[in-house]
Amino acid sequence: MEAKQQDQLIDVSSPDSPRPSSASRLTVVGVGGMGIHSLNLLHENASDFVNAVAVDCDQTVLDQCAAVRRVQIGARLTRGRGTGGDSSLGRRAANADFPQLRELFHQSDLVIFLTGLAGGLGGGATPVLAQTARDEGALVMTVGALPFDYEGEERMEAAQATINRLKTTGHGLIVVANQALFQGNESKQPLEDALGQAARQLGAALQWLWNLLGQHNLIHLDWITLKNMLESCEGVCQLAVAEAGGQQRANLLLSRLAKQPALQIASDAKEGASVLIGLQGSSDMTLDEVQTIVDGILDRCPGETSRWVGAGIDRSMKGKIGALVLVAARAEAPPAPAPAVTRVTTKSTAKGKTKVTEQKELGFNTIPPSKGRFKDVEPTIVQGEDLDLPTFIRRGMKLSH
Amino acid sequence: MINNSSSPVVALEIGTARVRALVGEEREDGYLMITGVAECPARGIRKGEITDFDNALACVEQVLQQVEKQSDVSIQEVQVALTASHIQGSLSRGTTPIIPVDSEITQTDIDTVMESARAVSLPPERMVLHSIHQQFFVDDQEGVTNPEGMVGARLAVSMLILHGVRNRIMNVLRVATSAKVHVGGYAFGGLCSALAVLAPEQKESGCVVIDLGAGTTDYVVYANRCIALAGTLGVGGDHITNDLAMVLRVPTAAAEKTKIDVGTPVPGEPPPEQPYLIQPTSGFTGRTVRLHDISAIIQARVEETLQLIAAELEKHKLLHLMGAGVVLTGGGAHLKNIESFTSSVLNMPCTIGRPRNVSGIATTTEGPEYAVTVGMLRYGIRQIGQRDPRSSGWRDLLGRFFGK
Repeated sequence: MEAKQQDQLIDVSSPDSPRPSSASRLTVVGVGGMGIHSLNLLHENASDFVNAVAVDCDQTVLDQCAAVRRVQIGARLTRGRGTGGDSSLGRRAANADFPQLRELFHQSDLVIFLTGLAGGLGGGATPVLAQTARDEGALVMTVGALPFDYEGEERMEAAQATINRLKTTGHGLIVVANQALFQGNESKQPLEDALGQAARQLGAALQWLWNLLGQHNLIHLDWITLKNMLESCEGVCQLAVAEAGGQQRANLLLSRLAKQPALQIASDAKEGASVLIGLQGSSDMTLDEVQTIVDGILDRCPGETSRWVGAGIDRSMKGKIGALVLVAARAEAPPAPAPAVTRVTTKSTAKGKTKVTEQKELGFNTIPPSKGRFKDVEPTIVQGEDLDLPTFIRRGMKLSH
Repeated sequence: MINNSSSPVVALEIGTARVRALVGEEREDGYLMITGVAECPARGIRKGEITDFDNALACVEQVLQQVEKQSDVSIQEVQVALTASHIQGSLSRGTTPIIPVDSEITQTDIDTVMESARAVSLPPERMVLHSIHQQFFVDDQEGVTNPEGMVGARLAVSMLILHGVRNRIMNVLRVATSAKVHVGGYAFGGLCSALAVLAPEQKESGCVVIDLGAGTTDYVVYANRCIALAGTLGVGGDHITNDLAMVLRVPTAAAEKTKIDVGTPVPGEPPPEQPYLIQPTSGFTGRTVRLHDISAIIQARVEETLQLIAAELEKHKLLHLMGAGVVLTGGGAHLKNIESFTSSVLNMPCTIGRPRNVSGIATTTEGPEYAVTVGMLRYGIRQIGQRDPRSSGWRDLLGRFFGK
């Protein structure tokens, strides 16, 4: 399974595969030890696909890393060593080298930070970096790993504090419980393999996300989709990734996804949840399977669910289907559901052709009442509702006689 | 007594329901001396935008002539208040490093950071109407009002940028220029309303001004000692009229009269079961409806409009900062019981905002529907004052909206 996954990653970055639109640029930044570790693993597999940057205080960590751009921050403050988990030191380090950092994000459309949420740099420098990237006009996402259970309460609290800071500085935060990534695997896996597997899963998820967002010319719409998703959930969501092959691959995939905490969150969300589902599969992926997987995921969300679905064909996946699911529980009442748009993208890696078919689900009874005096002016549409029509009629109210 | 900018200033509001003009000057004590008022029912305007140029021009010409005669001035220049549903507010942020690190912040740094916040990328068809600075950030410290002289590694500023579609704004201004007057300045109507009606204490404790116009509903939010948010919704009093006309199946004119006579979002007095006769007009035989139904139609619309604005405030986490509650202006503030209804929907105190510190022909201009025009006059006077060489940059810009 691992080898297959690598195949796929290499294939997408090979020269004859369609490049993500050159107009949009992705920068992936590893911050701190944990972040750089993930970045290394991602970078091994897809060096063409990302513009990778490593940020740390510790020169020795940077020396060992594979990223093209390595930025040492706070050299004077830490004398070239680590922060020792002190997030205020991490923050000061980032502030001290602010001009240098700003340069990193010039002309990036999407900046993804990889980091450990409980770390000194992860907790201190990432919010500063995220704000900087945001100020430079990029859409900013952070993929942050929670500490392992054995690291204790204190670290978990530190991670929670980082989450709160990142809520306001970046656009979106995807929280990955490292502990949970193991649950689908064999329990006696060697530590190194297990960690590598976790990082690779993360890498694959990022790659899929990028493919789904970046591979066709309707790109703009899709960025907005992701942004809407992130905005609807106050910026914090959980990620689940799984892959499956064989006869019963759709059901197998579902059962693998169900074990992950992201889906648990969706099923606990009484007020409803926002779900973004990205599917990548080999060319024999059928509409039935897409339907089964999407329905299966949505069945686990009891509340009113806003969903975004994307699906792409990747010939190199050879009989497998992979899914990434972003889930966010919603705190407040959901907005009126806009007609859901399902996009099915067919990508032929061999010929570099991209075909996009768009299906629009029909909205509920759309008998347009007359708009009276507003029929000739630009309509006022808010959240998919035409406000020029009487509220009385839209709410289905009746006169008393 | 009269302020140094000696000649009177003319404010023009090309509204959806009415075209209004005011002539006035500012006295030294800050009061506005109004010397001329004119208004006429607007034609050729929907939702604050020009749909029939010639009709709109005729209205503007008529109003300007009236006000010229009344105040005995020859009008060369007007200040135009703009309201239209395409006007939007976006928040922008600018950042600049302080070089060398941890040195003193200078006026040059402040200018640089303001410039970078103003440089928002808008779609090509849009233009910036106002850029209003909110607060500065020095490193991680928030809420700095004046960073000059402070020490830090980087300086940031947050700004509210109000922008609209250039051609549509130009179409409104062209009506004025076609009436052979020069457009000296223009401003967003919502800001004008706030400027006219708010007392300094209300701005300090946080409030939202909602201008219930005929074509649009504009809102301006004061929180954290700055203008936190502003925008407009393309729904207004015309929609209430249209709702009544369509649901009750009566002509628009009859619906408008019904709204003015008995329109209220709260069914109460007179007894709701009581029938109401919508008077016959030519081509319409009249119709009897229940007052309860009229208020139900109005209630649904007003409630929805208020809730949409509340949702916008909630999205920016401002709703709990409205210490002084909501202030209603515009013609919609004349709906019966609108204060108590708004207060119950938004769960905060509500008052009707009337133009403050106005004298002269005061009785007509004291109504909430005059807030935009009076505010425009005040804004125009200050802007003309700004043309003096001694005007000094960003502090005045804030002062214009936030000061007395």
